[in-house]
Amino acid sequence: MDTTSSYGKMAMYKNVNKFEVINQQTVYAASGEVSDFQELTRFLREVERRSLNAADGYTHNAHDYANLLARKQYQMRNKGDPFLVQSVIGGIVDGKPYLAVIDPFGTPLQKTAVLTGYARYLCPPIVQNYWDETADEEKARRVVEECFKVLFYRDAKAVDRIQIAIVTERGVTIDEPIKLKTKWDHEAFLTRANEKLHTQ
Amino acid sequence: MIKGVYDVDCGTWSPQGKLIQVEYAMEAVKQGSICLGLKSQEYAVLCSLKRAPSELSSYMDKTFKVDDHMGLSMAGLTADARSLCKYMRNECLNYKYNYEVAHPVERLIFKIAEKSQKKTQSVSTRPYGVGLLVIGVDQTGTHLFETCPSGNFYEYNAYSIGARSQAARTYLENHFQKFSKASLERLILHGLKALKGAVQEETDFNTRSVEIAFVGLKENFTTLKEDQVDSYLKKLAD
Repeated sequence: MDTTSSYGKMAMYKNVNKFEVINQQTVYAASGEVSDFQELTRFLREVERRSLNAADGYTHNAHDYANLLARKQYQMRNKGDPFLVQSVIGGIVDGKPYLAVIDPFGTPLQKTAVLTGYARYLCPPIVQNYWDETADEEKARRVVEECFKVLFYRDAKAVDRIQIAIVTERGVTIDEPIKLKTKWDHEAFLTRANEKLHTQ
Repeated sequence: MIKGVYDVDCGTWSPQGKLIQVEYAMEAVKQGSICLGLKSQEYAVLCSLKRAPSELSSYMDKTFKVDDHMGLSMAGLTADARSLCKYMRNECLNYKYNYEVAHPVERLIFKIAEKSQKKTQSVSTRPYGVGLLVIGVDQTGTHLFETCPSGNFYEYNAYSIGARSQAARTYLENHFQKFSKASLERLILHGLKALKGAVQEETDFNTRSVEIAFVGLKENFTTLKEDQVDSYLKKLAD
């Protein structure tokens, strides 16, 4: 996840934490309209709080939340007032990792790798060629960094600060933001193309 | 048992600190025909004795399926039981729609309890006149719950409600330590033995009047068919 909250194309806030920890086995993040993401966070936290109040030993897990979000997004889409977000729920369900994405129509898809926003267009080859389900955490981190590097290179509105959240059986850890290592001292950037033409 | 002027509605306390209308409602449960429930770590079983309003009629069902993982048996006003069952089925469907998992059992019982309680705090409506024994499984295991017209609910390893249920409860109290690891067949036989202890000489105790249902961690809620009930009654006779 990047750490920006943009006002259209303008990266207004560049140091925003966009992971919401719903419970110790569920993390929620979303790509798209930040206010809608915040609203859905409020909604999920309310549901979690009701579990807390019931105090009956039963808690919702990531699978439950993913489906609930799908229903909620579907409901608003039917009213012609959709949540303009692609929601991502990550967590541990029955000891196994669970990952799902919900599009603005309310379609839930359970997947092992999720790409949202511009990543849908730019990153599939990276994920397909360099990552599979047997990869360890280190490899996954490198693939994620590589994806964001490409996104930063290619998306004029992007910012080079990202954050990674990991959910394991022991709980959720959200790392400190890291700055992507990108290369901008290419020959082409240092000297203009068709130098002769421009200086005549 | 007329308690004078304090028993007219639920809006009136008696000097003894009781809501007499609620107590009358619980009396309706005690007058209903017996049903009992018991559970092991893997299964929960319901056994009930059905009544026939007359010689000409069929026996009235007391066991209802709520969802694949939950079902109930009742004692008291059958119509009230159907109403509550309809509500429970609806709640289970909605929960499944939203979360794609089965409704946690205790949460549903809590909803019934809340619903029942509202009726005990009103002048214009009467409490539900039915006690439910609900069996179900969820991620926390097997469950057996009892709901009361008062709005209270209790969780049990084994229990019985209805007419002459004390006899059944005595049997269950003496044997419940054996239930935890019992097989399904043993559990049903225990239930039938407990039921038989509460049956009078003249009452029908046959395949038409006995109802058996169970739910398991890996098995959906099922009400046994007549031939299956028959085979268990035969095993009981041995």
